[in-house]
Amino acid sequence: MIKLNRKRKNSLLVLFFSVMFILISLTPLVPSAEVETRLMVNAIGIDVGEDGMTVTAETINGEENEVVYGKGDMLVDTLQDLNERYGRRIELGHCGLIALGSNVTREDAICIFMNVLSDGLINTGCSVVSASGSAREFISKAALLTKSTGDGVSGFISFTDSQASMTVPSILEAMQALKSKSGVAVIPILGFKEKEEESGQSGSQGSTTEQGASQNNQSKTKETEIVPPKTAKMLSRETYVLDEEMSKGLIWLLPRSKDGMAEAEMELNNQTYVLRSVIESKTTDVSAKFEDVPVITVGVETKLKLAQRYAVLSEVEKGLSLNELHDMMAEAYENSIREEVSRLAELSKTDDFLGFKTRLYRADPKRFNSWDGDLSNARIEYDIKATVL
Amino acid sequence: MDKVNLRQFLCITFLVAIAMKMFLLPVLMMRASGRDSFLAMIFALSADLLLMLVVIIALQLSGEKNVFELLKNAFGSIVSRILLLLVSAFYTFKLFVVLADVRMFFSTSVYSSTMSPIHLLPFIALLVYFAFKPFSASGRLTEIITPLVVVSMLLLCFMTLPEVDFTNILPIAGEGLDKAVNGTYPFALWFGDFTVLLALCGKVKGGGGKLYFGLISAFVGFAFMLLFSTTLFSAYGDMTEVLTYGHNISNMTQYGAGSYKFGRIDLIIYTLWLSAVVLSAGIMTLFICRSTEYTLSSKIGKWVTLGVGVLLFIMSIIFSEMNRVTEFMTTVMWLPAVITQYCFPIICLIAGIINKFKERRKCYDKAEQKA
Repeated sequence: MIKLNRKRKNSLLVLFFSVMFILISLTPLVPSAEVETRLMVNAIGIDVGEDGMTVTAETINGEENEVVYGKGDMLVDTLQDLNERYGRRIELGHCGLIALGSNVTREDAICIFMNVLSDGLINTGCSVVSASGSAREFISKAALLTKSTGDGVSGFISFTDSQASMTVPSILEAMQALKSKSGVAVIPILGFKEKEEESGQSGSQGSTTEQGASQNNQSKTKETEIVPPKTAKMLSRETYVLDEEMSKGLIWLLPRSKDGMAEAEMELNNQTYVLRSVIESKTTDVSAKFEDVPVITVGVETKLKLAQRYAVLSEVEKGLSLNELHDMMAEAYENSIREEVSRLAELSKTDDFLGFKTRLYRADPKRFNSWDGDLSNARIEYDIKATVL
Repeated sequence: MDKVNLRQFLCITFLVAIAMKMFLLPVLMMRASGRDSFLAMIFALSADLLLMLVVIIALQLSGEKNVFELLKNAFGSIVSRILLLLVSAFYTFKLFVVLADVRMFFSTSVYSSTMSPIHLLPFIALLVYFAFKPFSASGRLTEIITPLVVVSMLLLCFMTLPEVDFTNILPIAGEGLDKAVNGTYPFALWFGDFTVLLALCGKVKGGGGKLYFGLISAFVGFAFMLLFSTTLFSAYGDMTEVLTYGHNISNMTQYGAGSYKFGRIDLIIYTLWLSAVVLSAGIMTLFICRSTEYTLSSKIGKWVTLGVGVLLFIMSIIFSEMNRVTEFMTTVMWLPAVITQYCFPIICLIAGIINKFKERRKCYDKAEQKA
């Protein structure tokens, strides 16, 4: 019998483990790579109607993107329909965006999110937006528009999220908001804008007036672009849209929004200056407590970098000191922010999309449980601080 | 050389502290206690720190004696054999839980449609092989792996924590302490890991008073675990019904919106973290092997360890329904887990004290005789 020395024994053992590991770990690749049997999805749109649910998916197959559709009564039926139509199993692990149709209600959204989260179908960091019309139309158009960038729809949304003032929540954040004591989620609305642009050469523009009109008509082209979110959909007991004017306050109150532009009007020496600044930094603090009535304190502290400085610096030449000017601009911004924030906060008393009840529960759960849940008599205090750089 | 040095002991303590708690445990606790799992985990980890203190004192009192000699000198041969065999039987169950956790992690995170017990075979083979090696081998391996594990956990902190809203963990004990208590004892099988360190009785070089640094090592490991578990608790505090076995700490790097852009780079981090599980399970297998060697014989001990490996593989095939496994572990096995993991170290501590008294008595008697 051959006696093995220690080194030889160890080498054989290492070889044995390596072969076993390689053979067993490669089993998923036989007979073919699993990825080839999957429909890899980049973004999905979900519409809910009387005839059931429709899912529109932008899929990635190598270099080409394709938009596919599925129908069913519930999400699981709809995804199964997609699997059967296209002969591949849908893979949502790389999905970066869910677009909800304009007719999706709060209950529909909870059902959809619970399905995808509990089954682990989708990445919890996947973004959620609302389409201004149907999600099918949104995904179909958006897929065409973003094709040239190669990123797909979800890539565009992530760019938007980092640059826009209204941030896009993840599916986990949206679900947390819906299942909190407040029970309302704020979903930004993405839509399209069509604009006409003139194209053609100067020769044709210099043409005669008789021909000019017809030539000008032919030279105009329509361009469609995705509009960064400026309005929001409230998934509440009743679903409604917050218009652009009201949505301005969300820039100050959404915890993750850090960028954007801020405007304010400043009256000085019988002149009205429109101040435009870039938000350099912003912190928001909303706290709540029970006294004789619920008391909510909304605190916003922000640093703003003034754009178009030349427009206001002329006042310095008229005798105003720079510090005084900065103080006045800061005050103008504080008033503007207070106005935007208070508009939203008062509206939130009815619908609580700012999470007041959640904060009251965290502060005093015992008192919360014996409270009737009516925020109409709540007192809201504001602590707004702006610094203009 | 069948010993570990102090540094290796501290590394082993750290890895044992974090190993078993990264998989099913946070989800199971949340199903029982909701967001009060945060409190439940603090209670359980505090109990484990006290357990670590008892283990360290027992290690200190054991001197150069191994765990069998420590018990035999105090309680006699028969009692010590029975105790060690019972504890070994318990650790076989615990190893089965470790394998179930690992299998669940891989079947949901990586091989979603192909994970079967056959994939556990290399792991089981490695554990059995591990058990046949001296303590110095595990010590050296732990020393090499620990820095990688620490770096991976720090990376995870940077990637995940800035995005987390920890205020969602509030209110703490908002509806009383009952829920928090319900999240402690049913999960005793996932705690009490330090008991396995009693296998190192008489095997730590340069220990003595410095063994108490093990408490710091354990505390740091627990701090990491509590931090990552709290991330899960605060994220799903209001929606525990969403949680399934697929949800574990490995999902947390996806917390931030847009995080899908980076792909699953976090899986590389978890792979490093998983090496802690290999070490911890290896030390459990080592404990089983040594206990049976001490109580029966060296040859029988090795065959029993091999048999344990085969048994684990067969159990993984038969008991593959995770719901039933976790139900059994939380409703039936929690009591044996509490008794074994928390009482056995106290028994070893008492044995150590008895041994010390006996030694002093011997010295006193000798001195008297001389006089």
